[in-house]
Amino acid sequence: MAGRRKTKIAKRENANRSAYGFLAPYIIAFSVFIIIPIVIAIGLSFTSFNTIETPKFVGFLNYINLLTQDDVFMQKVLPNTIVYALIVGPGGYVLSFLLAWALAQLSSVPRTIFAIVIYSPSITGLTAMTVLWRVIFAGDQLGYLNYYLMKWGILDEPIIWLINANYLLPIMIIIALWSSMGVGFLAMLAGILNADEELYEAAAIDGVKNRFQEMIYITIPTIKPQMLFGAVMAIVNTFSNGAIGVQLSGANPTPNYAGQLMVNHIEDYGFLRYEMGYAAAVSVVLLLIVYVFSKVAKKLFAGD
Amino acid sequence: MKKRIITAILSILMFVLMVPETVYAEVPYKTYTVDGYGYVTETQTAYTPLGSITKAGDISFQNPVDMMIAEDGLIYIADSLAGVILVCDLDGEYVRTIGEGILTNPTGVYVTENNFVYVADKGAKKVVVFDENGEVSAEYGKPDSIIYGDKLDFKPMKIAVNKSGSMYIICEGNTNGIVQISPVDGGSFLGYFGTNYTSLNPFQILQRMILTDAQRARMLSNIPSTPTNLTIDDDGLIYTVTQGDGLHSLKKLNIAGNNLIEPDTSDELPAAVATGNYENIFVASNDGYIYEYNSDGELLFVFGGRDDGRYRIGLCSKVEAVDVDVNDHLYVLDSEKKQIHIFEPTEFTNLLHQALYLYSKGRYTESKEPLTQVLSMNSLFDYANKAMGRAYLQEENYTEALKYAKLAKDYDGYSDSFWEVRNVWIRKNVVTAAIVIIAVVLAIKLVQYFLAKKKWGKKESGALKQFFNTIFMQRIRYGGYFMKHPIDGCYGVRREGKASYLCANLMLAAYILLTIITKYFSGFLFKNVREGRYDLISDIGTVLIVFFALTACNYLVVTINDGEGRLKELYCAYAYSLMPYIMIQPFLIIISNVLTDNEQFLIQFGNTFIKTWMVILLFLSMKEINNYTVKETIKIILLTAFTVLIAALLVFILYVLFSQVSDFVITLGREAVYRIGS
Repeated sequence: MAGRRKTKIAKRENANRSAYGFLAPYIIAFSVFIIIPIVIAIGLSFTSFNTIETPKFVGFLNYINLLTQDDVFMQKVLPNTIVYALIVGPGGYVLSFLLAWALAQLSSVPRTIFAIVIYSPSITGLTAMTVLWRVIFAGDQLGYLNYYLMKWGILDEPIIWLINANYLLPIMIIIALWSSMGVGFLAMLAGILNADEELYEAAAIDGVKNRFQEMIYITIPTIKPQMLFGAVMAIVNTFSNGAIGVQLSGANPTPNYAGQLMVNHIEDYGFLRYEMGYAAAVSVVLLLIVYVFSKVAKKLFAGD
Repeated sequence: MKKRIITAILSILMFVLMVPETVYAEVPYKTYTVDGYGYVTETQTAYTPLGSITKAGDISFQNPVDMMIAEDGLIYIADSLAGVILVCDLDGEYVRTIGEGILTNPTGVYVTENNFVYVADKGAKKVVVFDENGEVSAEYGKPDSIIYGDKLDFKPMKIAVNKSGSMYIICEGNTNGIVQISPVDGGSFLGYFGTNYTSLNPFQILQRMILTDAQRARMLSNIPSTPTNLTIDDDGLIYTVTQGDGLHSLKKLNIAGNNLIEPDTSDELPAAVATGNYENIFVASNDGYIYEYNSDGELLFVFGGRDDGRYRIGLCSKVEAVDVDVNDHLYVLDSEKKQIHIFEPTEFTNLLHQALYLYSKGRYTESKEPLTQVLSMNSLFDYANKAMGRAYLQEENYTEALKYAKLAKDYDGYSDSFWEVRNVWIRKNVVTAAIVIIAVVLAIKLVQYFLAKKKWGKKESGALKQFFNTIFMQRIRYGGYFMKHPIDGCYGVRREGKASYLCANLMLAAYILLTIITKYFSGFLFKNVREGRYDLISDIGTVLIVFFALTACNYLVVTINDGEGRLKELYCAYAYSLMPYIMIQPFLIIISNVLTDNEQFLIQFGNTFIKTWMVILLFLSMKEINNYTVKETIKIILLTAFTVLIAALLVFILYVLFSQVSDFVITLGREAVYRIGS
């Protein structure tokens, strides 16, 4: 290589050096804070590690235990997570699209105000949010829901909503839907606002009769990239969401594991029991699930 | 499968033929039980009538309304007309009389362990307590407490007393619940206990939401019903029966007044309740049916019945009380016939009781032996199968538990044991499965690589391609495109001839086939047909009739409403709209065989998904094929529904008319034959 003259391609490669230089800060930060931890987690998932002694290699034992020994995971956590994700993911996604579309019909000032109002739950701290919902779902007769249900004669005595294993998951789902207008919502709103006006005019000439048809034939095809982004964000968010059940019920594990999601399970093993190896295995499984669902979303939205 | 049906039929036949032979000769009633599916089925006799008591010594009963068998083995009978408590032994020999001249209208009696007799006297409006010598030791009238209610009268009907001497009293016309009085300080009112609930229907809830307080006060008040009778067991649990309270007519109340059971079957008019020696519960209905439940409120037997005037022992006219003695004999007080019927458990019942008792005490292994004997007498007795399955489950013998749970249709037990069996399987095979999956993925990649690089199998794939490109196969494959792009799909059906009757019929056939497979070959937990019962013709017929009727009516409506679609296009589009079901349902059927109750939400989600998709497809094809707007489509849907209704009515009228005509012709023919013959 040394003696030879540099080819054109090699020259161009050299010319790219400055680009790598500009990329470097991000790449370094991304590797240090994301890629290396993921690799370490995957490594740890094959070990038994209690944060004090050195990790002991155990092969696939953690994964086998997860599938066969961990009844709580198979009977409660996995079904809860899937139910939660299947409802909150698509539900929140559809809601954020519809709201973004509705907001796009408004004029600029009210649109901005409403966008902030709708977006705020997802940036407000979870604690602040749960304070509000805990008042509504309070377990005594002074909670708003209990008060009205008893006033109307539907209930005879107050239900302790947040401790009752039958109600915790549905309540979590309601709150998650309410707060699901996150980054995906903003991206879709921006996408709709940037759509080409001329397309709508052309469609009107071609015989589009109403807003619904506009939405189906023009809006959705034009904002497909933003929709894909929204879908991936929705999936990642729903699966990585876990604090809500613990915040509402005030305990980890949640009562009778009713609101236990995978993230809670990881916290339970990682930071309460200090079985880091096992917790790492669960998080690798979570990573795989999120990856598979994102792939499916890409298949659906990334065009034919 | 066929073999299984034959075995089932044979065993039913054997069962039907064998059992009654030993039964009908002596027992004037049939005995029923509830099978695993919740159907009432006949079973062998559980109790046989043993005799009756009509008199205590020489004193005949005048109006016996309550009865209690005390610990000392004596029967205490409250005779409301005579105003006394009659005491006799289990053979009807007179022992003594209590309360003569003191009681006016005794309606309820309870005897404690130390032979104190508590009498609820409705006429005197008080509860009188007699000590073991028959002397009055205490009297309790209406409680002074404000909580009792100033305007409420105190008319004690029935009474039960717990070990600490607290009285539970049912009062006539008091809907607040059972009055609980403690003997402290000459009777202090402890509160109301075990109040029944009223339920509101949605309309009443709406009314309550919008009416003002004054308006609400003028409405008919919704008052809970008073319990009819009560009893108390050795653990201090109170059992009440209430008439007309549906599944809550029998309640087992703990010390806090919370109901612990919800019986699977109940009578509309329960009159009395008693507990047996094996934590079993007996409920006697007013018209003579006697129900035996286990401690969880699962029905074991129903027997007895109303007397049709022939005065047979074992059939009652008006039951007032029921109780059990130490030998498990059942005593039923009949106030109209003024006698006590005595029933004796059969050997079958004795074995069942023994098993029940062992099981409830947690001695699962021991309980299996009597259960085996019960099952050898009647292998179709689902309750015993269930208990057997549960016993195996407790012993962690899951394959056996699975077998019995399936026999008993015990879905919870089946789900639990199946979970364990599956878990064992996964534990054994998880590594192998992982290796197999990796190997398969590698193999597919390799084959793909060779297919692309080395041009293997080009000839074969050419033939395959040709086959796939025939018009027929294109039309079939169009279904896949149709379900993803319904609007374009409808255009293809209308303008490009992408569908045909043949393909549409094939899709309909596939749909029918899948519904049948779903119905009969889903996993045990997801099936709601009876094992071994097949109604293929009605299954196929239902789908066909519904599909054809809807399509035909829809076409009729569409033609007079500016619809552009022709019959063929509509038919094909609707049949193609069934595609999501055809594509997804097979997976659901397969996974339903390896899922437990724990994961059943997957099936539910799958079904919702398929249905939503199909509805959207049907809606869009109706709209696109006819070139309607959304509003017009909704109008057409409503009109179609109306047309279907009219058509159904028409068919019904025609059916009635034709059956009348055929009846007439047949009668005429018979008449003619009769006339000519004579």
